[in-house]
Amino acid sequence: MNPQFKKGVLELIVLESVHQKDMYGYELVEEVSQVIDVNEGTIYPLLKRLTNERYFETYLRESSEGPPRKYYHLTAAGILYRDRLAAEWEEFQTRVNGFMKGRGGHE
Amino acid sequence: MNKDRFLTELREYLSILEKQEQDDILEEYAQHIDMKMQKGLSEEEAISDFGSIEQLAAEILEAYHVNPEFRRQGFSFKLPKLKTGTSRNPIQSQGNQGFGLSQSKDGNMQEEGTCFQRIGGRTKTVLTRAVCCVKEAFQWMGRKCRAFARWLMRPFKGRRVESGEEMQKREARTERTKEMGGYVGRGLRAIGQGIVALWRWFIELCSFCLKFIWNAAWLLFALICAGMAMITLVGVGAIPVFLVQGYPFIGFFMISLGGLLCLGALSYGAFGMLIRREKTGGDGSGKGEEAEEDVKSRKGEMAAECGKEAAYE
Repeated sequence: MNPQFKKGVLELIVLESVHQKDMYGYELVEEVSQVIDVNEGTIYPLLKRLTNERYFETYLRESSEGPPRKYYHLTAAGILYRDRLAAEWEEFQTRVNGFMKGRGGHE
Repeated sequence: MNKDRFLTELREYLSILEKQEQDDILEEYAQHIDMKMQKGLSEEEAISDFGSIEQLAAEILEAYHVNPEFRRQGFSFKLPKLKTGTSRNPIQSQGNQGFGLSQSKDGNMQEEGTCFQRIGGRTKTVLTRAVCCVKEAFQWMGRKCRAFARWLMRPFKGRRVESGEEMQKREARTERTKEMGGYVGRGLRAIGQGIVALWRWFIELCSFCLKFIWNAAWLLFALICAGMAMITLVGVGAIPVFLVQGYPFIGFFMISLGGLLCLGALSYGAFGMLIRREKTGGDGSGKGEEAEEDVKSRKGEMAAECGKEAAYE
């Protein structure tokens, strides 16, 4: 898959995943990896950036196995951002699909 | 590569970030590796999934809007803080990050440029001032040296002038005698005058040599006395220090003070003994006598003082 495609969509997938339920880093990586094949290392910087931009909040929660885990939670700003991105993605997708189908129909 | 090495290497790349931020992000990676290992992957495999550390570090830094090229450009540590500060404003973080970053970077570079120019200008002015000062100092030294040489040559010059005047007188005399005497007499007189002139010249030379030696000897003596006075001055300066430290050096102090004054007076007197052109006739000799008297009286005082000191001790 084109890495440029991945990069754009990765943010939306992460936002969407955390929107459904609070997640810790590794869990999120696994979740995202199910959808797109992405370098695991690149998700942490993304989480960091979204946290810095106040779309995520983090908190620690004890785990039965190993050290406490850092959970990511979507803030109100994060939800708005996620909605906007989802809408953009929807529009982008329908336009691209429509274009592709239209072309396919003509041929 | 094992986990520790991976983490330390990554931390090196992230050295621009605050310690807390480094710990924060490295903790995530450490946990990630641990989880992978729990799932049965080897340490090596878990780490190799991250790809190249440099690229990973670049992505992390990008998340902070820090230019990953920073390390290679070798900027000072003030700049990245500035950058992270500016990049936190929402306009830049909305998009077009690369552009914003490059702009701020250029700004910083320009600032550095002007800073260097300012430093350059300042050093230039300081240097020119220093050069001027050195030049003036050398000129001053040259003037002083010339004045000293002139002063040393004074008796010599004075003699010359006098001899010039005498020569004129002599010439006038010879012209008068020329008119009076015959050829033989004139020849004899010329020989006699020649001998006399030679004799005078010899006497003058001798007197000049004597005076020169006299002057040189007194000057040497004066300089030696002055040097010793300086040494005793150092002694005077050093002894209070000993005194403060509790040594009973009061006697030494008085002796060295006395020595300083005595030697200083001696050197002053020796300078006074030098024959100069200004001291002509009775006036000059009078001055010399005065100086000598002064020295003698001072010596007497010193002796008395020394005696007192001895008594003191």
